[in-house]
Amino acid sequence: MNQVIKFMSGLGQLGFFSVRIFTTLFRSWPEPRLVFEQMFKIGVETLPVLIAVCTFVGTNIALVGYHIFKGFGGQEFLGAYVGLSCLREMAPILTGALMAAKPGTDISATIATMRVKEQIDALEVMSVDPFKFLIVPRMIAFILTAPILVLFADFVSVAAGFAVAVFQLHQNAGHFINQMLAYVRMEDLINGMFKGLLFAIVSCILSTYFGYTSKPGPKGVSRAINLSVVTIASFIVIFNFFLTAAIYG
Amino acid sequence: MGENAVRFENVRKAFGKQVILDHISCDVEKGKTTVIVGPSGTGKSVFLKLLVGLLKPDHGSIYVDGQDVTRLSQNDLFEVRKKFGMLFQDGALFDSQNVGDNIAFPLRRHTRKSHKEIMKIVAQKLDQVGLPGIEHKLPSELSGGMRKRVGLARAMALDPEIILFDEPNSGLDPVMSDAIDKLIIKTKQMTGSTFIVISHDIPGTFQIADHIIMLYKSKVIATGTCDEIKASTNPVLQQFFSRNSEIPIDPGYATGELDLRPYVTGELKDNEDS
Repeated sequence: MNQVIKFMSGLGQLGFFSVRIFTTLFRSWPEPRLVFEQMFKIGVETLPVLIAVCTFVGTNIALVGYHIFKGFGGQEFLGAYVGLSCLREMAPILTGALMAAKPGTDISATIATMRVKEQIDALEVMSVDPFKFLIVPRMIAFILTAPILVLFADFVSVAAGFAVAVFQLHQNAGHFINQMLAYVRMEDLINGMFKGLLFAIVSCILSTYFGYTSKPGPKGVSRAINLSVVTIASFIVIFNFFLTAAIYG
Repeated sequence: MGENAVRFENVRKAFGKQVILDHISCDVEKGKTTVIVGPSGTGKSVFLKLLVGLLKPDHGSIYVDGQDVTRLSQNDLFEVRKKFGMLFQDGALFDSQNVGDNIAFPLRRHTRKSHKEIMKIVAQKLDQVGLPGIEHKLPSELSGGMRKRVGLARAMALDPEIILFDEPNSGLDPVMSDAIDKLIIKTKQMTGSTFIVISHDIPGTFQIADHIIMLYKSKVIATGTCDEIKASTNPVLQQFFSRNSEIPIDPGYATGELDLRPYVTGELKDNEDS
């Protein structure tokens, strides 16, 4: 029973925390310099890993898809399959997961360390709102960066799938592209970017929340990072199901 | 007694069932150095956090220059906090910024001074704390004593009316501890601000204090000048200031520093799994 109360109280706190982020965001815009710094950091931290991961996910989707479709003679749908899988599901999920794993953990660790070393208290005593200075710039940077990263992930995973289809599986390049263009609509691209945006917002809220409410000591910091990654990864997978169901029925 | 800079009126603060401050009332005189002493875990740090509005009391009022900080909105509280400078236990310097940027931080946030003017003030403040020319060093390159001195320079950056010190001597060797005390005295003479110091250090307390407030078992058990405190016949005071671990101070009562996380996390047993 205690655990249930603790969980519900945690959810309530998380709710208040999220509301404070957005009220601060709408009330006062932070310095653009702080936002650009964060955007640059997110891009630099996430992009190389995202490209590497998306390359291999794209190739894998093409390979697996080819062998499945070959069983009933549907290889011609490979382009559509790669395009739809990557744009609708894989690119936004991977972007969300990697944003949680790289900048997300960095944010949790930074804010938790600042909390433990009384630097957040110091900000408050110096009349600087920690939400405006620490959290809102990160949130804006996540919001602006996520759709762009999803586009990168789309392009890299589809290109990798295309490369495997053409060079390894000897499929016709023109046919692959035509099939893809016939089945993939602009809404798929936009929905994927929208999903990535939602995952990024959730990643930012959770990673800042766990950092901000970190417990004292090194154990508190490591716990904040751990909770941040595990919660965000689980949330993205679960939330993705409901989003997909809502969008595609 | 002169004009009050700070007044605590019947303030109570508890975390769950643990009462930290139990209806305490006391005054801090403007322009004087008031040292708050007491065994670990008696609520000294909570006292400071209540004063700057990092914590809200369950009951009572806290006046800063006649304004009750417990009833202010977040924005008004930020305005009142501009009257304060605070030296945290370990300095609380921002790790990613060098010493110069740390000291310049409040100036960049709250003034319209040019970069040149700000850097001039930074150099002046560093000179005042006896560390000239270290603007480009990172906090990780500084010793504990240097971090505290840089923290003091940052606390003084906006020339605040009230400067708070959270255990300025903790973790320092006796020589550095004495140097910090002398720096506090020198700074006090230079600024004329009101100083409120949390301390365990008994020789240092008598060196810097104009006025002492003793906290014990969540209550203020004595206030007075150094001479009045020294002359007190209260056995708890006598024991504390003679550094005697025998009774009457209940060792089971003060078992260590308070964990202040509950005000952030809402959880009351933060150390349960440590």
